[in-house]
Amino acid sequence: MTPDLHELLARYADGELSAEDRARVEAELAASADAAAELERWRSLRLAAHRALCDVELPAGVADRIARRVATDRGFAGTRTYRIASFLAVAAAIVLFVVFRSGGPLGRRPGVVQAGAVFGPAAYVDVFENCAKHHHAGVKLEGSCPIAAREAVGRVCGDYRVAVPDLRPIGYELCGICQCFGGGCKEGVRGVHAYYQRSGAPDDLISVFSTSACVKFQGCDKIECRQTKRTYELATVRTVTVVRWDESGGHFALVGEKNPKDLEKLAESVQIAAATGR
Amino acid sequence: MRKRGETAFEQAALPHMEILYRVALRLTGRPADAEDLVQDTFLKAHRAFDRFEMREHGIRPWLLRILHNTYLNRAAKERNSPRTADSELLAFVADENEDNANVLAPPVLNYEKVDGEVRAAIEQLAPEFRAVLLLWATMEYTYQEIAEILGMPIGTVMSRLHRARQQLARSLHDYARENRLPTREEAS
Repeated sequence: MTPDLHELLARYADGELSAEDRARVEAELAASADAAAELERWRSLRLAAHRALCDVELPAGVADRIARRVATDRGFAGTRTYRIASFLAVAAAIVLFVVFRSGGPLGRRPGVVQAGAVFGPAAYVDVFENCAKHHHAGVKLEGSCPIAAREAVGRVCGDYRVAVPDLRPIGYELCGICQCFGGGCKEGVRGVHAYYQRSGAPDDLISVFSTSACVKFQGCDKIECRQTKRTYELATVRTVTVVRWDESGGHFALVGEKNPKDLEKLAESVQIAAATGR
Repeated sequence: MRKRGETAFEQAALPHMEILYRVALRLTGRPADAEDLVQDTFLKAHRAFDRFEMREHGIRPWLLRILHNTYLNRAAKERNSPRTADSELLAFVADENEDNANVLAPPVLNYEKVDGEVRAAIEQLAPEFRAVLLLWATMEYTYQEIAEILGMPIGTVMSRLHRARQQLARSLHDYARENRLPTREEAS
């Protein structure tokens, strides 16, 4: 049998031959038991491939997660009403005070390297999961927990200082602050990580990051970039969501084990305001 | 501006999620990546739904095309050195010429019992060949429909399918030899 006839038989099995080639193959099939047997094997191979590839079921939860994500996307693609409603859902505004002094994000001196970095959302999530939940659990600053936002000025990597937001209006108490972030100073990115615990719900933790340089996610393919008032990058790693944005020369991220919609609502209520210096 | 029928997209597209997931899993090889890929596909489709024109075969080919393009973009980024179409084609033509001299028919086997071997052979295929084979095996699309979904000439589909099928046949011959099963050649 010629190589050409093998391929013709395969295409005949697929019903993809021209009238001329079909006639040629049918003549061969009538004359050759080998050709007829081979045709059956091509058909069997396709069926085997079908079975091998179709034994996959959608895992539990995937359909719901994706449908929710599409619904969220629809909401955000909608009108201002949605934004206003989501904004009002969190009545208390969170104010992030950024300290001008000593080269904080808004007070950075000209010439300081501010090149962006690409760590991916996992960099935030790793800190959130390993730092907030484990290493620093129970750490108390200023001798008490909760502490007032104005008292919790992170001083990391020398001259980078930033005040962390007061989330008490929405029921979260500041429980720790550290300089854990990706490579920290080694990567040329200085960062403050503050983590919060919801009153009466010790497992409900969220984190706020403020970094000295823009730490973008890895492009916008795996994540969502939305243009609302700010441009948010959203990513979900396992069950943890990261909402990241840049504003007024600063770089911020909110991280929590929440669905993207809820966390984005929280982020939307964060107002960046320049403090007058301390 | 509101999109046409906000629920129209969900009604038309979401029922195809399982099929998209199946293809995505076979392309990526990892459930988490497959979920991510399907989610991206639906989000992109949702945003472009206004421009979608329903055709004879419904929305599924369009969704599969988005999924495939998204997958290729990701793969290119991960490789960080995407090959050009020309070099891909040249490499393929060279291989095909080599293959034509040595075309294999599938061996004599009990095909009811080789799903695992077939699956393993498919996973070994290069992504460009695997994508064609997936659509051919799981969807029963015609070559022309596969070409439209993947955005390539029908000749390329036929060539890639030929290569993919040859790889399957070769793997099954190896399997038969390793297990001392009689192949057609040995039987005759």
